[in-house]
Amino acid sequence: MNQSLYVFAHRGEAQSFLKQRSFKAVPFAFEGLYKDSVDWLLICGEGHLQASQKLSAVLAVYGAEISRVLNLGVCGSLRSEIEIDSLVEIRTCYLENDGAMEFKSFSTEALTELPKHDLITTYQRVLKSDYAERLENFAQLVDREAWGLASVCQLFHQPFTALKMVSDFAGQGTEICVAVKEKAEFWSEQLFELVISISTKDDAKEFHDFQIPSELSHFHWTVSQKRELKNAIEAISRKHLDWNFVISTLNLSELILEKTRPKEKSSAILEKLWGLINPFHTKIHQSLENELSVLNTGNIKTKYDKTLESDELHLQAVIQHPRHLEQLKKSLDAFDFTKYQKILYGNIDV
Amino acid sequence: MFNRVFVEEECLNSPQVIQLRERFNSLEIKQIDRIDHYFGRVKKPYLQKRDGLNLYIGQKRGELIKLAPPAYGLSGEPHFYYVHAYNCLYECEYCYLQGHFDSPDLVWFINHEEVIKAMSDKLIEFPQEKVWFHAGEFSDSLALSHLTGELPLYHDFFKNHPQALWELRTKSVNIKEVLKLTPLPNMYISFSLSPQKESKEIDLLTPRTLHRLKAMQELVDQGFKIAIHLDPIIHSDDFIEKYQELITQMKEHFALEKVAYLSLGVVRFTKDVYHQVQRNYPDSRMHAQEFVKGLDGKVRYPRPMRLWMLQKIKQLCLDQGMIEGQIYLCME
Repeated sequence: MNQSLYVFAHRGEAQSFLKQRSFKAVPFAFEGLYKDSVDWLLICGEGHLQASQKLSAVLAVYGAEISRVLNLGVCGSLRSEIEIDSLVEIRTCYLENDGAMEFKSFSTEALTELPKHDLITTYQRVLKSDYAERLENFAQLVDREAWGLASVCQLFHQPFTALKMVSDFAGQGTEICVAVKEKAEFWSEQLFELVISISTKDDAKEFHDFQIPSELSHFHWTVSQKRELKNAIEAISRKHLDWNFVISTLNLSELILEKTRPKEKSSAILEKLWGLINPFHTKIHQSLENELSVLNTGNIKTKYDKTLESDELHLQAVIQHPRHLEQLKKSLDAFDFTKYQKILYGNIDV
Repeated sequence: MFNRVFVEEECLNSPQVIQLRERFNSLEIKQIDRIDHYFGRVKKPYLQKRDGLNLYIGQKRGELIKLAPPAYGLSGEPHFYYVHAYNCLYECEYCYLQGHFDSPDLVWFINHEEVIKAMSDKLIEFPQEKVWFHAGEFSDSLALSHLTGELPLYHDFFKNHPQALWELRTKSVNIKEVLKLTPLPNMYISFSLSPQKESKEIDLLTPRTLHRLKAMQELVDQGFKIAIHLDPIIHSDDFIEKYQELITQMKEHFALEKVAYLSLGVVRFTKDVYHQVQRNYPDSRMHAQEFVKGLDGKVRYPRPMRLWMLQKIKQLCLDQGMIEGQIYLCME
């Protein structure tokens, strides 16, 4: 399942998608949601509030079926060097909210080789030059929806990308609606071609998704263990550990014969992998446990600060018989706190 | 170099702006009312410094000098740092500036006379003591000093106030402006050093270690006092050998007794900075380190490992003839 949700503010911007693909209206709380056999399409309306409301509703209901959100449409240019009718990819979205700048910004997931620019989503249409001039201190492009959509995507943990066609120079008094009517078909066609080119690349990306290595594939992995295994394998790769060496230290042929539950076998593998990834950590804990072994008898339990930032050692003893007290005394006599403390201060052979 | 330069109105005719106009005549300079109306008002991703770096020039408002945290410098004397700039041209993967200002844009403050006045006031507060003033907490103190031009002003102050100790922290080899000054007994130029391979991999865009050592050599030859920060030390299987080589290289460039002090520190992060490092450098070997997250949210090596690493490097320095009094452990 790798379904995209294309979000447009206006129907005119989406017209090529609606014409050239077989999107069908989905009965929903509001009009404007479509689906074909592969992807979803939403007409969210103008303005970041309306856009975020509608996208939130769609992701709340259908989020599990959607793997990324693409905002497609037109935007205004705030800088003369950005050409009209050029396609751009948005790098970071900012928000101007009724005169005030919103601190939070959202970076997008790059999908194309298009020029990357920053975009500011505004509370109202930018018709005056002084308004445009103020905005261009923060970004090169302006629209009305992207920031709202990006914020919803972050909330729902959905990758977000915005691909825009530059329609006009903002702040020059022209009503964008007039231009949209005249050129909407051309712009929509350009966006459609662009999305086709991205879809082709996606297929290749999916090939690289995580696969459990063949040596470990006959063990049982829960979803969270699989995620941990993926992290461990990435860490092994970053440490440049030799995979054959790693596998040889796991003693898999013995492990598989052990009479433990399948999940416990996978846990044992993970523990050994992390031991290889973090040898110093393992060594410290082994050394501490070794020192504490004289205390860790039947009726005494020890607990130390797992972050190792404090020297504190907690003892818990249960005394039900005089011999327990004798045992406790003997154990305390045998325990060398200074030696234990030295390990915490880094006196350790590595 | 800069995408745009934003200048506060009263700084438009400052020497820094005039010089920038002369050197970079195509530079777009835009007048603004106050830096803080723009800088940091929105969260700008750190890596946009690569192709969308802006410069802000204006007045530093609020606290002009700040008390340094404990274990910041040699113990026993009060330490302050003064803020003449925000952010840096370099791109060290561990840099805490990634999570500090919410913008990688550079800021130059040019009201140095007011900073110097604040230093004078501080000396009155501590009449019987040596007082340290460090530059380079939020920016490299020398990298752009040929453009920012403030060193002579501070030099005059420290020349006339021998009880004030001046440290310029840097990774740069841009020592031209320092060499125009006369050495002072209370002036220290301190360099952060890492083994050559580490520096190349992790201190992106910084001058190579050997070039830094050459700059230090030149300063020593001209009578300036130098200091060293072996910080951050990053663990690898052969880190002891790498530091052994670095200390040997140091010795080849200048006598180690010429090093006024040497600090040792291991790599550490606040939770937010570590999150930024993960985001900005997902493939960095930094993520293969044995870090733990403490209850205070700091991400660093477990204490026994930190202390073990620091002891090992300290011993290497002692073995090469440095003395205990020259060495201190930073932030431990």
